[in-house]
Amino acid sequence: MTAPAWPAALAVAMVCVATLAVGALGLRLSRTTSDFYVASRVVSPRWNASAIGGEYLSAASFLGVAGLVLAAGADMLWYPIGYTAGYVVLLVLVAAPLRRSGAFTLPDFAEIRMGSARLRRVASVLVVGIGWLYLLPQFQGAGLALRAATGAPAWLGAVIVAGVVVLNVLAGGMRSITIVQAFQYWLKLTAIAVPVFFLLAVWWRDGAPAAPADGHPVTVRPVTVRLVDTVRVRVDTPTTFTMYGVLNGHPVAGPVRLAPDGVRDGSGPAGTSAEADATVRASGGAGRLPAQAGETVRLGTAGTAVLSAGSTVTLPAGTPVPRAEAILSRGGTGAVPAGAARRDHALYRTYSLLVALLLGTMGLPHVIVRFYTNPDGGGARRTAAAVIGLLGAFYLFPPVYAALGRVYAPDLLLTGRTDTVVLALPARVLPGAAGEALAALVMGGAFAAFLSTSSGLTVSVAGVLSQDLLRRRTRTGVAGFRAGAVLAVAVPAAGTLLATRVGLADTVGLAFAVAASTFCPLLVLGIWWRRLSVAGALCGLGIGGLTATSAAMVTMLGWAPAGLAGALLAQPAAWTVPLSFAVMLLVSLRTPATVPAGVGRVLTRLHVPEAVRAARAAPPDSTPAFGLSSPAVQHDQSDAARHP
Amino acid sequence: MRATRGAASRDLDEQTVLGDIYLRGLLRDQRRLAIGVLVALGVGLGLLPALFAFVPDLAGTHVPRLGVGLPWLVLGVVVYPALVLVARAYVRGAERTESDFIDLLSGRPVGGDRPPPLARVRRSPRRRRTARLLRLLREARAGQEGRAGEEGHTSQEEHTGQEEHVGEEVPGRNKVPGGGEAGGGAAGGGRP
Repeated sequence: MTAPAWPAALAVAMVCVATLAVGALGLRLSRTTSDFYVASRVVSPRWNASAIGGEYLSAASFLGVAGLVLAAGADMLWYPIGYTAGYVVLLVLVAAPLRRSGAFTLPDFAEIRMGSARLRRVASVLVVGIGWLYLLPQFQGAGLALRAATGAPAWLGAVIVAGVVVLNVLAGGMRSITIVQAFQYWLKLTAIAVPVFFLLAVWWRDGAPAAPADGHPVTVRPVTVRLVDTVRVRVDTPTTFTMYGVLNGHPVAGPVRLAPDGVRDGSGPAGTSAEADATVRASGGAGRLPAQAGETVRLGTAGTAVLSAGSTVTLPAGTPVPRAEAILSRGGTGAVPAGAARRDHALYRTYSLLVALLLGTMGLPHVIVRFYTNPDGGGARRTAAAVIGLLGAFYLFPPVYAALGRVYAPDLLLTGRTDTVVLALPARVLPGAAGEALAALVMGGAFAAFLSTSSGLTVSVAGVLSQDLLRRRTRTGVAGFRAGAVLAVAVPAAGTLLATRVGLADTVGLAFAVAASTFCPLLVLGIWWRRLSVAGALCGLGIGGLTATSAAMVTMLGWAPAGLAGALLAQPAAWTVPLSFAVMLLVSLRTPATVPAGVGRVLTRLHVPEAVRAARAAPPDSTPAFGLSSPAVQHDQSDAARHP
Repeated sequence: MRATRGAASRDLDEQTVLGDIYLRGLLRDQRRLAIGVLVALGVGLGLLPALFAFVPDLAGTHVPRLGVGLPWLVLGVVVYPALVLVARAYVRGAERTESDFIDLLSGRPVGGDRPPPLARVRRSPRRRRTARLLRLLREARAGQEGRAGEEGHTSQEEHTGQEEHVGEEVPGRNKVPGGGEAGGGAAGGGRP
């Protein structure tokens, strides 16, 4: 990145300081354990909606959506739609009853509804697992973004985010987090929206060049890139460009032609093509034939070529941009760039993604914990509806970056760094101080995204950890919460520093799929179905969690086969969610003995408006309640049984 | 009226038969609303990927002057206001269901504080059955109270007066106490 590092570094510092300062305000307000967990449940819908928006819009939204759409086109617009529509489903099925249940956390809900300590433990494990899964990419993304903008080492961003989050959570708990989150929603919206207007003005001045349509992006003007990472690229059409560096492990200097397998072109006799084909195929194995300059490199069925770090590539105007499939630097496992999602069975993938996002949102621990801070069920509903508006407003902007990125920064596809398009575009399009200032603004917004999502996740994971794992070891609730917060951050932070690189979108998608396959059936059936049994809930959680987790693990480890099976494993929600629902339903029907007693009382609590319960609290009056002694009532009871 | 409401909510709380009927009615209304909204959402969103996949002309349509295809405009912009509208409609519906429920518990005309739009006359057979059942139970309670003594009698009179008033003013819209003249027809009379 050519822009100087200090404006971006300053923006990051300012966001961190502002976050801590706003959080410190909350410190004076947080006194009780209830403050720490759920802000004593007195947060108004407006504050709560901003806070939820701030918390929910993670790095995957701020950076990832634009990167995905840049790389893979309009199909990826389903990600933000799913993130938003997930709140509609949550609003309709869960929001008010969950608030009325009076639970602090998802395990609390499981226990209140089902009265089973065992189910509670399973739910706790799932919450912590999903939370850590979601925290890991936040920390990683922070490191990558900071490195992209300032050249700082990747671990620094992760450490900064983890440190600020722990300080904030330790200081104020949920109350201060609520204020911080609300502040960060508006910061993020500003950071992503303001540069768009400048970018669009420049685009308009340039004569509004059309973004290349879906499919393969084509350079609008000549582009020269120096590769920072070694990348494996794929082309869909024969592509000629100039390259100085190392292609498939062999030095090249001059024009290079890449062609996908099966494309006939007249550049040379068939033998040459076959030989070049052999070159590419051999590059992964023992045989080594030089790829000479000026020669067509015909890609094998794998369809890929490897461009080494340090190479310089010049794409003339009108060239289809070779797309990075994997970033192979650091020798180890290749990071998968945002756009590498395979396109086979695209329709199945889209639908399965929609299932995961729509139904997974309600099962994310940091989303759920927010609803406990509403004053009542109606407030929870109005909050959820407001959140949908806030999210929709935000998601109008990332696709603009993606569309403009196709015009102004198509080389990001070649380098595989499509995730940085939001950060890179302002400085590319607007040279000089204006561009730097806007770049600093989006960098600040990105850090706000990392901080707010991490804070929310930390609070919810810490709540579960302290209630279910640390309760006996700490003397007071607040001390337990603080110990939980440290543990909640320490594990994924250590994972970031130690673990291999996993794509941000992959991990977030896995978290959604697991949440959709576990907590979604538990919540939906728990709230709307009387006959859910403890055994059914346990089996459903187990089967759903196991299948979704293992499918995604197989995909992430690269063991998935090609074709439909690969698609089924990469996007498992379309079959794991129905499976989990079916298991819960069928096992519940077969084990009526473990249906909790008093289910009617719990459902009353979940569904009856607070106003009625307030009336009950009024002084008792003279009217006697119904007893079962009256013959008329007994008659009608049998009547009711016949007509349920 | 206050007295009735307190009793009704106590029925709910103590899981009596009447409380259970109240709860089932509320659950049924809310469930029906939720399913309606979710089906609308699922059909609205769910058709789009198939539409763009199977009608390539639609996906290939270029929006003039914006430099992007039709899918970008629909999926990037149009979807969001639609989601907001769906959410608002649901919140309104759910709050209406709850205020109807509170009216029902208090013996007030259901939805009496709202102007009567035509679309809101919802009278399914099940709903009518529930209404009849509740009326019978109320009558049974009234009988009990009558035996119990003076206080109960007073409250019952107030109650009945309220219902008569309702029956005249908004015919067909009050789901439950279906009119002042008690004892009109057995519970099973009109059942299909």
